[in-house]
Parts: sequence; structure tokens; C-alpha cells
Amino acid sequence: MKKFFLAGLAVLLLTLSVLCLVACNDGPSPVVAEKIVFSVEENGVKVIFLDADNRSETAYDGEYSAEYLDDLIYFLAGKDVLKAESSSSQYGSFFTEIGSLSQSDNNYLYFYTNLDDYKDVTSYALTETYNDVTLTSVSLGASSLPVKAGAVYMVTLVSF
Amino acid sequence: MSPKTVFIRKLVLTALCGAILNAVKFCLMYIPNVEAVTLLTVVFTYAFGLGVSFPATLVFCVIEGFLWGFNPSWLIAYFIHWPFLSLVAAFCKKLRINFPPLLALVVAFATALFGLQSTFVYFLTGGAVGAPGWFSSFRTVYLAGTAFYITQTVCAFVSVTFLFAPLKKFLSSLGDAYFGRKRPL
Repeated sequence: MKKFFLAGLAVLLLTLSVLCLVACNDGPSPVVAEKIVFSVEENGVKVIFLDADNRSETAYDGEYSAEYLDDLIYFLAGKDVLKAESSSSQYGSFFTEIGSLSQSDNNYLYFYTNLDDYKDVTSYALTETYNDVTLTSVSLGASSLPVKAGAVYMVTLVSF
Repeated sequence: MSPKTVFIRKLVLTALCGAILNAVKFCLMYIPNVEAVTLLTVVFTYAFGLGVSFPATLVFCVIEGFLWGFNPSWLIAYFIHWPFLSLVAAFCKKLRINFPPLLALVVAFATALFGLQSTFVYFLTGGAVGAPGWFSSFRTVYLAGTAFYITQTVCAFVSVTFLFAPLKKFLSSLGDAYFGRKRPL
């Protein structure tokens, strides 16, 4: 009986300690860095670089051939619009560098979209605004995000 | 060996098993969802008992938290899955399931539940469960991870089928030498 009581007490203490540490976790927060916007239209795509002061520069405005966002990024990298590095596996692409955005120990590349089906609906979601359009972070990888006319994607850095 | 000595040895072994779980996970982390934590949790339960494997999985989860951050979106899923797996293994041991392919089937089923459970925990801790359209979003996120879950489940089945018997034999003999006749559970 005493043994079970002590074991229960140990589990309770551990649970409380972990809950305290979980409560101290801030979650993801945006990093002041460049933002890259991909605005998909009926016949083409616009790529806009936004610097930390929100000054924009259109890097590409033309036709594209891509089914998913990772295809689009590779397509644009092939046209020297931006630099892209990723580790590719059978599960899709895991980008480590896009344009001037580079992943480091605590900073990760985060994708945002205006497509309702792919938005993160939890409280972990972050939002960004581009041209009065609210973009919400996604909970899927770039390989799972379809490129559709009317869709706006943004990639930027987030710190954990 | 006095009960106090057995207790201390059990405590040391628990810490060691927890550290081993972390070490093997760390070594295999570059191969997505290929892991040996499932196999080792089952083997530890059979060789040393639930009294060692259950707290070892808790040690493993706490260390994972220190390594990757105490983020509830995934850590709570870990605290549910790995101790649950040691309980499943203890149940199988109690039922005297020693035939590796049969044990592997049970373990693979428990592993397959991890995908559902972890996706649900993500939505639950993110306060999205019950919100309009949450299930559609849940389905999209779960299906996007299907390839990962299948890999993990197949990996659990194959590793338990082929490595459970030799590892259990090896660790049981080490356990005999370590605890003598006063083996915990």
C-alpha cells in the first residue's frame, strides 16, 4: 500500500513539475526578418520580398508551373529568383533556407496562407498581414500546400 | 541483497534505461519516424518489469522536454504514449505473450494509435477541439502525417519481430546478474 502511495506521489510531483515547465513555455514568436510573399493569380505568380521595415520589392511576376508550394519554390529557385535549400525525403521537402531566410538553432521557417482548409485552427497559430489580407500559419509542410489561383503564401522566420 | 539495495539498484537502472531511450532516439532522429524506443520500452518491460520501464519512459519524456522545449502541443502526447506502451507491454507479459510476431502486432497497433492521439492532443491543447470546422482540419493534418505514422508502425512491427527475442535474452541475463534472485516484477 505504502509502495503504491509513494509511486502515486512521485507521479503527481512529476506531473506538477512538467506542468510548471509547460506553463513557462512561450510558444512560437515571430522574428523581425524579411518576409517572402507568393501571390498566385490566374495566369501567374508574383513574388514579393518585404524587408523588416515592410518595404516591398517584386522579384518575379510571371508564369509558373507547380502543383504544390515546394514545387513553386524549386521552380523559382531554378529561375534564380530566390535561393532555396532543403532536405528532401520521401515525405516531402523540409526547407532550411529560402531567399535570405535561413533556419538556425531556434529559428524555423514558417509558412502562412489565406486558404481556409490549410490554416492552423489552434491557438498555436500566428498571423501576418499582407495588403490587408490576413495570413494564418499552417500546420502542414510546403509539400502539402496546393498552389491555387487566389492563394497568398508567406514565408518568414519564427523563434521557438 | 537487502530490499533497500534492490530499490537503489532499481532506481539506477531506471535512470539508465531512460538515458538509453533518449540516446537511441537521438541516434536515429535523422531518419524520420524510424525509432527503437518502442522496441526498447517493450524489452525493458519484459526484462526488468513495469517498475523499471514505466518510470524510464517518464524519464525519457522529461529529457525530451529539456532537449526540445516543454511545448504542450507534442510533449503531452509523449507523456501519454510511452507510459501507455509500457503498460501494454506489461499486459502482454502478464498474458505470457512471448511469440515475437504476435507481440509485434499488439505493439504495432499501440504505435498506430500514436498518430491519432498526438494529432488530437495538438488540437486539444491548442483549444481547437469543438470549434467550427475543427474535425476537417484535424483530418487534413492527420492525413498529411500518414506516411510518417505508417513508417513508425512498420518499424515497430519489424523491430519487435526480429530483435525482441535476442535483446530480451541478453538484458534478462544482465538483469539476473544485477539483481540476483531479488528480481523486481
